[in-house]
Amino acid sequence: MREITIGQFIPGNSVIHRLDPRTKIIITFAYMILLFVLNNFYGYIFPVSFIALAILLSGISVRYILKGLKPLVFIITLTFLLNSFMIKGRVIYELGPFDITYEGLSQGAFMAIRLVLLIVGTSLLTLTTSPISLTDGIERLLSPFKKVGVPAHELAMMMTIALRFIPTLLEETDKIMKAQMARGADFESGNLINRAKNLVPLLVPLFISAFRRADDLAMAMEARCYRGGENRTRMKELKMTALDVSTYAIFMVFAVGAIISRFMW
Amino acid sequence: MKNKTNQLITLAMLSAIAYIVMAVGRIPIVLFLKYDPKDVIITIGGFIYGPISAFIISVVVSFVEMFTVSDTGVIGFIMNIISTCAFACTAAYIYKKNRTLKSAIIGLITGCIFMTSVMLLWNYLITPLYLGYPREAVVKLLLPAFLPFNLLKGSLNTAITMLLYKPLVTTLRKSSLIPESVHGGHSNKLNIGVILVSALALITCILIVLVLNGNL
Repeated sequence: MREITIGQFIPGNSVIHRLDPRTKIIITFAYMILLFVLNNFYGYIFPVSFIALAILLSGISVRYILKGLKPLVFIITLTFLLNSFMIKGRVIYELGPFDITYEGLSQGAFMAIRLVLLIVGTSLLTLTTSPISLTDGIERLLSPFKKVGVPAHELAMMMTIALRFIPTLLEETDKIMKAQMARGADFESGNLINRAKNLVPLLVPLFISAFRRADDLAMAMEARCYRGGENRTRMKELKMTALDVSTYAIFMVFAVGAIISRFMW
Repeated sequence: MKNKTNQLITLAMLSAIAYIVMAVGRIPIVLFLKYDPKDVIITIGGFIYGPISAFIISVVVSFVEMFTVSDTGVIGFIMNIISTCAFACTAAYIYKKNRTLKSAIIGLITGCIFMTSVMLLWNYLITPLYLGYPREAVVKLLLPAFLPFNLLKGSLNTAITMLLYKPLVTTLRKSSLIPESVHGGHSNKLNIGVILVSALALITCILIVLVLNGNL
């Protein structure tokens, strides 16, 4: 159970890695919206070439990205099949109660491609951005909403702390499990209710240890005069560079192309 | 609560525990629906610190989940928050009003029913958009797939929370890691809750109107 890796981040120094996390988040969102704007196959030229360019620049192997699609093969196939069977139109082939239609097939393929592009886009974001810089980016992006009461700094701080302590607590869980097993606890057999009951001797020590750690950390932070987001300075300031500006420009070209494609065909 | 920093960090720790529970105990059931017991931890957090805390934990966990293990992207993130909150915040809210075993059970069951109905509605609205299934196909899936899944999930969460909450809280109180009873959240916090609930209702209404008009 210690095999869980947090995040899919692959360290690197490519152009994509060096982009400001804010740029990457904004562009990923815009890219996703763009995919929903498209209404025909020709339009896919733009997002496909955009994402291909991004993958090329990021230096991440295509095979690795395709491997990330594996758990989704089932759902992509299901999307394709459901669309193929459920849409009425010119019948190509009759299969029992279902008809495979021309419209259904093309709609199914259209949706399957969209799903693949959506997933590749988001996974490229997480592959090239470390969780910490992602939370940084989120904090900065949310900070305009502080005025209406969104606790941007607190949320980002909590995410960072959670990310930091997940491996520690995971190790702790493992230790507690072994300690309780040495005392005769059984985590692996019995029906559902029994298993849930067996969680008590695991979770109680885990909670206690987590709360203790929280106490210690809070004291340490207060001793260093932590008092929330106000006037806090950072060691690494996020800065938009020429690289970010040109990324936005390139994306705009593809986006305009995609929007025009909606009306051309 | 002792102070603000302490609560902030404790909630972060609860998020980390919820994440671990989610990562270890994730079981796919049907389609893209997966059961994971993280709602239990979030509900317990909500019972201890109130509904707003449950909401914050669920946002943090869903977020971390989105960029680490999840494969459904932003839509999975939104659905995750909505489903968790429908369950945990409802339960925590009812329990906060009256801290007894009876109201805890009532809260959990209400949360379970509320979550099921909210998820049915949102799946009906969102799934066609996301996966492009025709809406009739989703309707056919609602009863055999989404309804039993959400009911199962809700009742499992209810059962496990009931089993775990009492021993946990007793021990935590004994080691004085949490105060005897927390009376947090006066008028100010309640307002945030009201705003959140009405925002959810508003978005749901907008989606329904859009769907009925055939725009989506």
